[in-house]
Amino acid sequence: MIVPTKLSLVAGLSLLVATAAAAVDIASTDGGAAAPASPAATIPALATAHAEKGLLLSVARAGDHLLAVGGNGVIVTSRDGASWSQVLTPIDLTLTGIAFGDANNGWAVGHDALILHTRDAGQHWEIQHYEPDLNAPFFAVIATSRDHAVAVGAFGLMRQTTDGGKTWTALEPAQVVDEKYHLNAATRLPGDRIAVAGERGLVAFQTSATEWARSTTPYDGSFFGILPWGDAGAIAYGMRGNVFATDDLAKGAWRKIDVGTLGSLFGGEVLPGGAVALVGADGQMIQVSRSGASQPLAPSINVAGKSSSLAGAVVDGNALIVAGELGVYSVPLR
Amino acid sequence: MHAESKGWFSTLFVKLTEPLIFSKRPLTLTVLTLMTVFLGYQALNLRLDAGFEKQLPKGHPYIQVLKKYQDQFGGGNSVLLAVSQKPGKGDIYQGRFLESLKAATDAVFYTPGVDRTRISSLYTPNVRFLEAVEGGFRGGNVIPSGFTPNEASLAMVKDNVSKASIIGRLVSNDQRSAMVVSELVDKDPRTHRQLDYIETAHRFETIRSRLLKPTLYELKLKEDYRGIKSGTLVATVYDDPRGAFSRFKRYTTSVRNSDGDVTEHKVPASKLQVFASDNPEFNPDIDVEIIGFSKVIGDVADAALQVTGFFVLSVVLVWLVLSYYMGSLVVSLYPLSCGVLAVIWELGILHLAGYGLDPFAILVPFLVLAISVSHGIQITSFWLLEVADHGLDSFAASRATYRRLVIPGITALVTNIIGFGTILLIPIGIVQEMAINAMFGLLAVIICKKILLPCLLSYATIKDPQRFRDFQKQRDAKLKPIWNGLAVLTNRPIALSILGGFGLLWLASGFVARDLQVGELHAGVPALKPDSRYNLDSDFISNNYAIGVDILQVYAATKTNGCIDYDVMNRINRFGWYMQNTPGVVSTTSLAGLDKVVWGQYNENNPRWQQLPRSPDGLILAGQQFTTSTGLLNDDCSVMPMYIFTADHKATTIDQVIESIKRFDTDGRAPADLKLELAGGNVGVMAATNDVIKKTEFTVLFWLYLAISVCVIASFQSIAGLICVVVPLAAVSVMTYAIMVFLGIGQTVATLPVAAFAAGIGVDYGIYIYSVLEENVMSKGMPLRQAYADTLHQTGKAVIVTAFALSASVATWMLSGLQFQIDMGILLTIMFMANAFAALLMLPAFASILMKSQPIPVFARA
Repeated sequence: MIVPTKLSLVAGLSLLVATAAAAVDIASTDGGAAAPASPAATIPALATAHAEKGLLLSVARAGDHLLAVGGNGVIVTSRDGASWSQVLTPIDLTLTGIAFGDANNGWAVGHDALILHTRDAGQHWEIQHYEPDLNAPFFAVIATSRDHAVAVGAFGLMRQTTDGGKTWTALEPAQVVDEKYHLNAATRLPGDRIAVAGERGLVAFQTSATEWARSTTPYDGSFFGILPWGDAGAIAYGMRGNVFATDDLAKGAWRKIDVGTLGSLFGGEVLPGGAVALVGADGQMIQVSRSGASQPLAPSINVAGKSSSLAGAVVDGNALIVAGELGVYSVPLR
Repeated sequence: MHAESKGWFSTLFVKLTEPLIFSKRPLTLTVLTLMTVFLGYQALNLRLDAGFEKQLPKGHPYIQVLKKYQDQFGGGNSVLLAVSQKPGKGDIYQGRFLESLKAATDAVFYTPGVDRTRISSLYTPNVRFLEAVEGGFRGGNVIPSGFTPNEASLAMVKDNVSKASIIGRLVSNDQRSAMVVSELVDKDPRTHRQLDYIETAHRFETIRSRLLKPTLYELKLKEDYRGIKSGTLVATVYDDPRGAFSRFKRYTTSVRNSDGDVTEHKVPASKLQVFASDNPEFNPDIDVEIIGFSKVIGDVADAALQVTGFFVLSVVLVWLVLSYYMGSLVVSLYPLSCGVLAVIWELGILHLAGYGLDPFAILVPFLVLAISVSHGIQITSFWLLEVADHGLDSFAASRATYRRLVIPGITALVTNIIGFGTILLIPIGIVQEMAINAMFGLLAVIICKKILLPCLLSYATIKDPQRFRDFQKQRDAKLKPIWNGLAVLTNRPIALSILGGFGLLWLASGFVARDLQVGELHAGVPALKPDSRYNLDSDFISNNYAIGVDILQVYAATKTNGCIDYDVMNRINRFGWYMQNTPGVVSTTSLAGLDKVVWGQYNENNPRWQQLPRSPDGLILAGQQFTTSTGLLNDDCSVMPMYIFTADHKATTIDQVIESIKRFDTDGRAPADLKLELAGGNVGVMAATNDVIKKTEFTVLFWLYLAISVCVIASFQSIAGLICVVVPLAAVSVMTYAIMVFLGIGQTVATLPVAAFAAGIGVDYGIYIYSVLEENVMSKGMPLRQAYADTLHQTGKAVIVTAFALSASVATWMLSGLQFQIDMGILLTIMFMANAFAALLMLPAFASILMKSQPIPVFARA
């Protein structure tokens, strides 16, 4: 052959995307307006050779091994954080969160209000909840025991189970869901109380098993995550490097923490000793000590020409396992 | 070349044609001269043919799919021009560099044929940085207008670049190079003609010179010319235009008249004065890399034309070989000039038949020269024999030569024509044209060699026949020990060991040849050499940017508005994810995959939103920014190509990827209204081509050897003759496969015709040797050893000289800038030589086993 057909040099087209100047805030206008799609038959996730290199959004520990969930219905598992293998799931939607109530029982949540459940530490998964007509994704799940878990998602979506997932019921505490803000994250505070964070600086927390309270934060943008901060406090993080912490959630005296980045922070984890690791856009990883001082935890994970946001993290011995758009990485902790 | 022409047909043919040609020689020569003038004029009008369509195996289903969708996905014809800091010169955030980048951007903008709305570089307003901020987005130009370089502003540009997510696309991964990406229009907006890719390629080359050459030369009119004022600047060039043949060059300038109409004038260089000055845009710290489809076409066309220059070299080499053989620089000019004439005729006929000159066609004249010279050697040597040994005058010798050689010569040429005809079985336009072209050439050879040469020789004189004869005898005596030595091969034990040796070599070659790969093995554009400027540029860009150059396109064909159907899009997305996990695939790009990413970006850039929205509204929103010009979807959104970037374009990689694609749809989950159709992109074309090669290789070789065998059997009416002639050919072709493995040459559309050319022409050696050997043994009753020694005495020299003449004419291809011409040159040179030696060595060995000596009683010959 002399010459191929036209070289359509479209590589990096994905990057074109970022130059689109359409400044539309769709997130809060879509949803209910769209015509409900009929729930299609579920399609099992594809078994792939390198699922650990795809989009992964959340990592968790179950007994002696690690699990990560992400795009295309992928769940991968590893014993050492280095080599990963895919576990088959009954559906190929993007999974956003994973949590375990004990060593064997856990949940993974995702788009189309999907909740998957495992009884064998993540080797097999079954669908417990799936409502595509809601047109809303779950973003996080928190389990306090093998029976009790809470899942939160877009447009104030909240579901709870107290029977190991046999039934999932709607939770509608006005302090949390009134404005139908996206509930982007949830965390488990000391005493098995749950806190959620979301749009417009939303932070709410359980004051008892049934009662919820809203904390007024000084931030008006989106929080993408929340973690415990000391015994009674919380640290919330979100868009463009905005991080706020309070030592007492009930009192709610928030202070801004300067983390030295304008990149959004999408995930985090409490480190041994109470400091937190925050991860986010451009593969950034930041450590915030209890004093409020921050420093890079490790060099950013970047591959030229690719978007490399991180969204999930979990501690594994002396390493932090982080997950994001380029897959899962193990980062040594000092 | 064969034994004496026998049979009623040949007798009749000679009886009819001989007086026709020789009775009125001046008339014959006049007719031939007029024909030459006419065809020469035609040949001068031959144009380089940029019809690259015909390089596709058009019957292949992949190509039919490609053609079906090609028009729906115009565009995608981009040219990428990278401006890079030389090593050690730092990153791009320097005033001097950005100045050069701006100059390059402006130059591309003003290049005719470039779509000015679709240029992107750091300096174009469409390249913006965009941040998701509280409540929406915020953005701006990467390099703001009114930019002046200083420490703060350069740092700001660097920050904007990182925010704009253009690293890997417009700025290299290491930020030491930046790109001007432009799209070409299909039709020149001014002339409404199809864009001239070659011209466009040259214009981009000028941009490179503009930044890299220290001196510029302005060409201004010396005097008024066709209404253009004296002193008008006609052209600016960056290479000194005052070369040897510069006077004959013409420069095109466009003039806008008072009505605003633009007319183009070609101004001869003789009317221009050259003014040299320092080039203000010259930047010694940078380099410029350019890639793109039209650049490939331009570079291939330039390299293809270059090879014509080597034709002169070929002619000189062949002349030297001929002169050595004939012992006279002058006599050898007769067959040589007839050979060149045959080439002129061939090119003339080519133009008459409506063909142009493409990179394959350019090679045919070399072959025609080779074939016509090999026939010329026989004719001239027979004529010399008649003149020198038998003392005939030139005219009588010519007639004798004609009588003796016209029929066997034509038979041999017909064998060649049939051999070339088998190339027609390769269903690729350009190769078929090559075959037709070669056949035209052989027709020209028949006329030039069989009619013109004897005619010319009848006027030739040898000044001192005795001296000439002595020279010949002296040289023959030197060669005699070699021929006697080779005759030992007819001893049965030696013959058996020679054949055993060849058998082992054959087996070993066959073993090595199992590793012979189909398809292109080198990186980059296969037509160009791996170290060509284009391929180095392509290598640089694919190593330093996140841009792949090996692309396989799979067309997802569905219903109208399929791009807002979740099931369809989800399936395409799944296919992309599947392909990303296929070995040999680097990455994939599709509308479905991008919609998913965009959905995340619209939702505050939160990666947890990266999922195709289920509602049509969501899909519309996610996909709205992708216009048809992205090549991601067609007008009614019923076809969406998946771009699969492969690690390379080796056949093993392609096979693996294609196999994987075919397996994907076997899961039974595809929506009924979605079809994945193969294939487009350079890798898709290669997949189709490789397929065609695999399928046609056997067919071509089968018919080739069948045709040769039939011709050989028709000549000798013996199986022994068939084996003696054809087996060495087959052995050489297997050994050539082994050589291809060693040289890293894959089986391509270029190497298939080589097999046919080599065997089709190489068979002549065997026929030549065997016909004399058979005559010596069968008719003259010589013992085999003596018969072979005598055969070599008569023909060995001619065989070797022919081998050298043939090789000399194709060896110059190795100097070409086109990789496939180099490959063909190497292989043909090797095969032309190897066929001669295989014939000289194997033929007698086979003969000693197969040929029954049947000494015919002497009286029977009376």
